[in-house]
Amino acid sequence: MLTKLLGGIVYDPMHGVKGKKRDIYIRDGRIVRKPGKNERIHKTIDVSNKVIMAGGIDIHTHIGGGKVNIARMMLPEDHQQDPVRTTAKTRAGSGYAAPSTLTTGYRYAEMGYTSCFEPAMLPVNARQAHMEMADTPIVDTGAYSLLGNDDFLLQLITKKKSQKLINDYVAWTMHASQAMAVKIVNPGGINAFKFNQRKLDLDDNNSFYNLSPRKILKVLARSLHELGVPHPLHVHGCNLGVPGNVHTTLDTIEAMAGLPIHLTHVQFHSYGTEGDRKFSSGAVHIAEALNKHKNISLDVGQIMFGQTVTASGDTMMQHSGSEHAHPNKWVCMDIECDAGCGVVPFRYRDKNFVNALQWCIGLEIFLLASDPWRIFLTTDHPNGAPFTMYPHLIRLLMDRSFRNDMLSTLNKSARAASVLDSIDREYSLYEIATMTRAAPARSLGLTDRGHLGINACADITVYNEHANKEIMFAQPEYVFKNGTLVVKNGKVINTPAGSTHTVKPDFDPGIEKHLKKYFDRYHTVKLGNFKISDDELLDYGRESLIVHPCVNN
Amino acid sequence: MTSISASKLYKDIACPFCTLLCDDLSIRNDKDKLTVERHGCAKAIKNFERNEPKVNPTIHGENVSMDEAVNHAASILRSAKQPLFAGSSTDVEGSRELMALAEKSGAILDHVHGDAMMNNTLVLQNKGWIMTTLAELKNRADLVIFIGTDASSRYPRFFERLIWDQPSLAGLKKNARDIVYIGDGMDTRSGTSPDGTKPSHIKCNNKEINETVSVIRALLNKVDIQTDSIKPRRLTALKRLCERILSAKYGVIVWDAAEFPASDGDIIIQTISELIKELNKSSRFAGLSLGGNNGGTSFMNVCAWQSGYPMRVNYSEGYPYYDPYSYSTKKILQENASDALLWLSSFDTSLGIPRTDAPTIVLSRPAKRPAHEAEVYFPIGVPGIDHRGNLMRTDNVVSLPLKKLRDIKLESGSEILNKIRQAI
Repeated sequence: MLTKLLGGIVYDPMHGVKGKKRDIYIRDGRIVRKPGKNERIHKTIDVSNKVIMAGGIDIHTHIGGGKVNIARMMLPEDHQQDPVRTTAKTRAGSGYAAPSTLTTGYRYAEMGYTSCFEPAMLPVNARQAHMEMADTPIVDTGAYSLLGNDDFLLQLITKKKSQKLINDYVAWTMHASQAMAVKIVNPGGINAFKFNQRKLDLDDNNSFYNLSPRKILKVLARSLHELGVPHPLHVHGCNLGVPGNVHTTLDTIEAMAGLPIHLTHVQFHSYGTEGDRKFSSGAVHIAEALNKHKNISLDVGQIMFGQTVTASGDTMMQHSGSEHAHPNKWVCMDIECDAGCGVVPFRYRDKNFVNALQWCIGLEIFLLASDPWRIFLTTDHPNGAPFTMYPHLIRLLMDRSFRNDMLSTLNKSARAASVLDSIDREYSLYEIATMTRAAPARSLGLTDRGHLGINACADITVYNEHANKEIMFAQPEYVFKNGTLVVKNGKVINTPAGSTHTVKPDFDPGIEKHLKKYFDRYHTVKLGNFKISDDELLDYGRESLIVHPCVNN
Repeated sequence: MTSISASKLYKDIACPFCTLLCDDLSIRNDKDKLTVERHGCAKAIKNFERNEPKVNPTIHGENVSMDEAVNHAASILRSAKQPLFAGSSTDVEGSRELMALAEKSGAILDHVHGDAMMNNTLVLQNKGWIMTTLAELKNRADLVIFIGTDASSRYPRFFERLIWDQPSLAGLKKNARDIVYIGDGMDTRSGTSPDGTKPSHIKCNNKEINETVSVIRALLNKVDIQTDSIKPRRLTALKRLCERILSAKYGVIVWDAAEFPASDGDIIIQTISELIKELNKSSRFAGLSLGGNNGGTSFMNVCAWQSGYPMRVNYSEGYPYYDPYSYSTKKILQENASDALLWLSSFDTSLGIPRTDAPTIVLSRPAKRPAHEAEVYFPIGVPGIDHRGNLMRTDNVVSLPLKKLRDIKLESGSEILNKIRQAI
């Protein structure tokens, strides 16, 4: 079956295509060359003057795994306000901040997104995370394994084991948990919290292992680099949410000495201590550092006003933030000598100085960063806001007068503390396509996604151009997943299963000798049962398992 | 070939018969007769080694073909205005199919241990908590307080695997754990350390537990206590316990919601959870909730990720509607608020099927006299014996894969639920 998309205006940054009128041909789930004159085109869809981009890719969204499910269970009121009915094509469920898996898949697709990456999968909870993602229809999924607070790795580093052995362990974990990348959260700090430490700065020591976050970060960043995992170490740094943490973030960048890392939800790590309230924007410094250090990429973690829930592996910081829980209920968990989690509902208020400034800081970072290939659009769903706020966020970035109108309604002191109203920049459609498609695909090593070149996977979104970019991005006219039309006029019409993306670096299987001993001594599951096989993963109901190659560094 | 070489030994098998999910069992299959060779507790041996009676699907007790039974079950659900799905004892895959069928037929979903599990979940939804998991308990806990449960009666290998097992990552010495029981009617023998140190036991009856924990909170918060309302001996014991709580490096409080009175279990659990939160202002403490047997933890998690609610969800209006109080199996049946019952029971053969005048569809592990009241009956296989699957552990974190160990031609609950859904 050959389908032609006729006359669309194409934005394909991977190929430098900036709003050119082009026809696109789809066959067997792939984008193909213009067919010969004698070839039959089975279906032509007229998309004249509509905007075409590859399907959106969310590089950081909490959609599956233990802490997300705790958030769902904890917040019936979140769902009661947003019930989702069964239709002829879709199943029932619920929104809003912690939506059901089924609803998550539909809403991403309806927004033109076709791939979502869960950034904080605890290896010991990986099976559940993958099972939840298997119940997230349409979109492709992948996950980053959480390391850096697990007792095994901390032991290896403390005992000064070789980088090679550590690399074997990291690679083994990626295989065992079917991961796409590796994330570190509050390096060593989640573990330190189990020993009652309440703060761990970059050069403080985890008291039990006598290890600093700096040391752990360097070892893990090097490991990912040496293994050739396309996405560099995904870093949720020390001191999340703490005023003054902009210095921690800048020190972290310096500490890497050129090693690639990705700084995630950096808005939460960009706070200064200036002003009467000892809370200020560090966005200028962060953007400067990003512009200068080409080894760094980041996603913003923009906040939006309203009720949401924060779900993080950072037990230490979530516990200290629990006093702000709204409504007043929260969960913290120490987890299985692997990591932890904290789930704290939160309402960001535009009249609140800190929240209003957080909103400004996120936007400042977006607008001051010069290279959209190294900054990705996220709200750290649901921590800053639910992912369904993306179209609103895109409008804020693309429409200065709208942005300034919104700004003018915020807390006055926060406005005074922000440079936002002096920034003229408006993102172009090309830049939006870069930061929501091409750049995340390149960062993750998805060579056939995020673009519209020949042989690319036919994950395609067709938008109606509209002066109001929020309307434009909220309701695409068509969305294709693997060449199948899944959304028409903003509504799901087909619900194929997505695929799971992984990266499986080589390792010396000798690591299992160390691990078996460790598991038998300390763990409560057997090594063999910890590992998720390919067959098992596919059994959950995925379309396919896609293994991306490593790169030579 | 000798019979010995014809038999097959399976190692590192996960046991689905309680939510500890011990996964170190060795099980031999000899001509589809299973024997637990290593690490079987009495519960595991009884359940793995059970001879399943050969039974067929039935309608009103008469043997029928699978297709006839499926079509009959579908017709019951099609004509019912408000079906109730109860028992719900199955693995993750079975839970997914159960959800899909409930949505299609507009049913209410509850679990056989719904009362106990909801008493926990109501605390989560009201105030939240600080929890830990089995490996954290084993590796870190120097003080373990059992409230209202001795753990070992319902979770036979709890102490062997999690309390006295060595070594520990945090360097706890073999006999170093301080074990305390609060409650009555407990078998405290497992709490004696390998060197013979006896555990402490603060005796109080079930109705006094909330008050006892409240006194601990008051003592720790230095709130005046009306000493005439508490026995002096108990007060002394509680004061001593508070000293130990304050000197613990990582304390864990263990409870089992099923062992608290159903009427106010949530109140007790909330008092315990608030105590734990208060302790964490300056030191480390965490809770460990036991429960969710018969696939309860798995069912609750699947229900939460698919619907947004832990259970007690009604699909009759076309979307999930949650009511933790009205949608208890007992209440619905008492009020005759359901006109069809689907009962699913994959593990424990002793679970009684609730009585109702409504037509009943039963899917259960084979039984000789299977639910004489069932209008339609399906024998189903056991996840982890007759088919592969996944189950989630009591701590809500670890999921373990279940293996197929024998082939006696039993279909899984999820396969049959799927057939019924297709037939509707």
